[in-house]
Amino acid sequence: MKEGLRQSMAWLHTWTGLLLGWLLFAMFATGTAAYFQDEITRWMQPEVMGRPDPVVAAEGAVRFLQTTAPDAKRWFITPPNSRSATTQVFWQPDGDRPRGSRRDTSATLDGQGQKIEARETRGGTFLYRFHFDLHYLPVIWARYLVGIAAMFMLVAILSGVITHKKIFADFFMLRFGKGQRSWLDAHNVTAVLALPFHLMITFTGLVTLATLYMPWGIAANYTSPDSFFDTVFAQSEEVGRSGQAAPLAPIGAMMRTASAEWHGAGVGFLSVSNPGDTTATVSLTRAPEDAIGSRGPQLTLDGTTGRRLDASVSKGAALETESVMIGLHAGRFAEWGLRWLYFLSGVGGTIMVGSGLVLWTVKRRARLPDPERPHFGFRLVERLNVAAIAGLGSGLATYFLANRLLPLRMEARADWEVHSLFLIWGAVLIWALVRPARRAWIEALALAALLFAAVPFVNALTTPRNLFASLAAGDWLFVAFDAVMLLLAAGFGWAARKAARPRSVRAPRRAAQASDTVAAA
Amino acid sequence: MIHFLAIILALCGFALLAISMPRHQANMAGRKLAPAATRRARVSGYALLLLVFVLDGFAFGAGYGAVAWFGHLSIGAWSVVAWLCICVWRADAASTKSER
Amino acid sequence: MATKASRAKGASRWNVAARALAAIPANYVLTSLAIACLARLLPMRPEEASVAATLFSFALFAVLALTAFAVRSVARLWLGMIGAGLLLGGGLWLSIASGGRL
Repeated sequence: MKEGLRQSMAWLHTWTGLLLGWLLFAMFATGTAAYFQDEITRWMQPEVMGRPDPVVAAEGAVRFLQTTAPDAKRWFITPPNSRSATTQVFWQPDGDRPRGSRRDTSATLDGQGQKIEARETRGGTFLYRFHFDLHYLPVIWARYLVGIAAMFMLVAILSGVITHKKIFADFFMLRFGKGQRSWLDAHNVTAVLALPFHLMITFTGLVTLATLYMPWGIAANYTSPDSFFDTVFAQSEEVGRSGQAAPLAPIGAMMRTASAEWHGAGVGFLSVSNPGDTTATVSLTRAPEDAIGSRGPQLTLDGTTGRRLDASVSKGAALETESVMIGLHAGRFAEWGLRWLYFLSGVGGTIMVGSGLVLWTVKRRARLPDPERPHFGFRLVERLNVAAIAGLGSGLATYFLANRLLPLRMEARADWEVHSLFLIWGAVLIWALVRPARRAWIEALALAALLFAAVPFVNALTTPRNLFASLAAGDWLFVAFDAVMLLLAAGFGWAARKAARPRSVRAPRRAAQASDTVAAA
Repeated sequence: MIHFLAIILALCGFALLAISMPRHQANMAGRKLAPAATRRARVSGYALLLLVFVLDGFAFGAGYGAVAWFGHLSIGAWSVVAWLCICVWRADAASTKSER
Repeated sequence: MATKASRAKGASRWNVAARALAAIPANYVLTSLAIACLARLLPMRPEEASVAATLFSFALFAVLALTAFAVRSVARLWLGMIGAGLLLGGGLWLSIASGGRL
């Protein structure tokens, strides 16, 4: 019975891991990068400098909105946090006007409230969105697909732990240059050492979109989801304009009032209803970097007097738990030490998924009836592995290169940065399909290494903020970005060299022995 | 500072746990340890990890402390894995030299 | 020999298909019913109970998916799932019909 259970769990681990493994790899890789989304955006807009003060920036944003959209229904202001350099504003035009595109009702501002003149880019935000919205796909489908993949991941993690109880005995084992054994070690070590992280990130990832995937808990108590959301997020009711003009009270004072109420925590988001009218209200939300919970408390003030109108009531245990889970996933509360740790754990998770995908082929190669002519499924997995692992690497490096190389005034520039990522990714896929598998591995890995290595050089040639200038100026963000690019290049280069080395002759027998201990499916 | 202390303690804890596993004893201690010593290493290893938890809890509060604890444990464990890799490499290099 | 092997392969293919059907679509229906019942039964405010049940749903789904592949008999698996589904569905219907929703 015991052996039967282990075998069925091993089978489940293998196939849940493989079926959507390529998507999971892309989600892990881009999600990991998204822990530095603000930093990536700053790198991708090298024209923008400085660390503005959020209160001054919000005051500037209000001045900008008062001239740009004085009669809007609502203004939304996201002042810069400790990691970003810009203020994001968008506004909801008065009801009668057509909505228009988002570009007409939003702007990126600097610390003084001036519209920023910088290259058009989606920056780190694209990587963040891609890890759950994908691209070229209706968002709702993408989110369902991503949810299914995350659930597969959760089942793969649990079945992996059940199958390989021995992983805890192999806790510290990482042996290099031993063929299948090494792949297994890499998979084990990256899985076990960050097992709490993997479980946390997968589960909380599902929680971030919980009401989309599992709406029935709400449907059981509410006839319409809207009445649930109204209860949870007490939205202030829309009040029509009175028509009497009244100036907005100073926004900085309101932000200081809110901060005092939250024991010094900053304001992360402001919305102003009916600006310039006697009915104006301002609602402030606590900055996400000041506590783990993702849904910070809100404070609503009268827009003309600054008098306190309403504050969000403290949430119940379940809602608080949900808020903390989402906060843990996004990691917005993490200062730089913890942020790097999140990043490294994410890298570990990416390696875990990648090594698992490779392990599927390594394990089976030894047992193929004719290793020279593998069957179709084997060849497909092998090629998709090349495209997913090395191809995504090349694509990401190209995304950064395109940011520096595309003409600054180009039409739809931000879109073409994204297209270039997928163009290279697709090209690597086609390359992997037509080349012999081993050559494809070597060439695609070498390409990724080359492209990553090129990023710091192209940056030095196209902007004044090169590695030496950044080091001299103490601009650690740019230094770290260049360093990570070079490290990734080294990693891919090392992998390409490993792949180029002739396989050891004794591998098949070793592999057969190892597969007994692994209880392969 | 507390991060540094916690990481060092976690590292020591995991090193003790590793040495309590028979397969690592040859690499780390150069010989097999007696069962009593193995047990002592295991118990004190777990005790150290627990101590890090208490330390993080007092330093950062329950919620953030738990997150920091996992972080410190990860760094400690990764360091031990790296150390063991170096041990094994050294042993391999020494054995190939003696074979020649 | 060959026919025996291929028959075994065919049988295992059906076995896998039956388990996968139980583990994914049937599991989703069963989990949804269980979560809906839980959301009505938990002694909290309704919005709290709904959220608590939803958070729990992913753990339940994962465990049920593992169970679908762990149990020996496919027939017993389906019998159990259909039985539990009928029970939970009936309970939910009774609860909504008598208590109503917000």
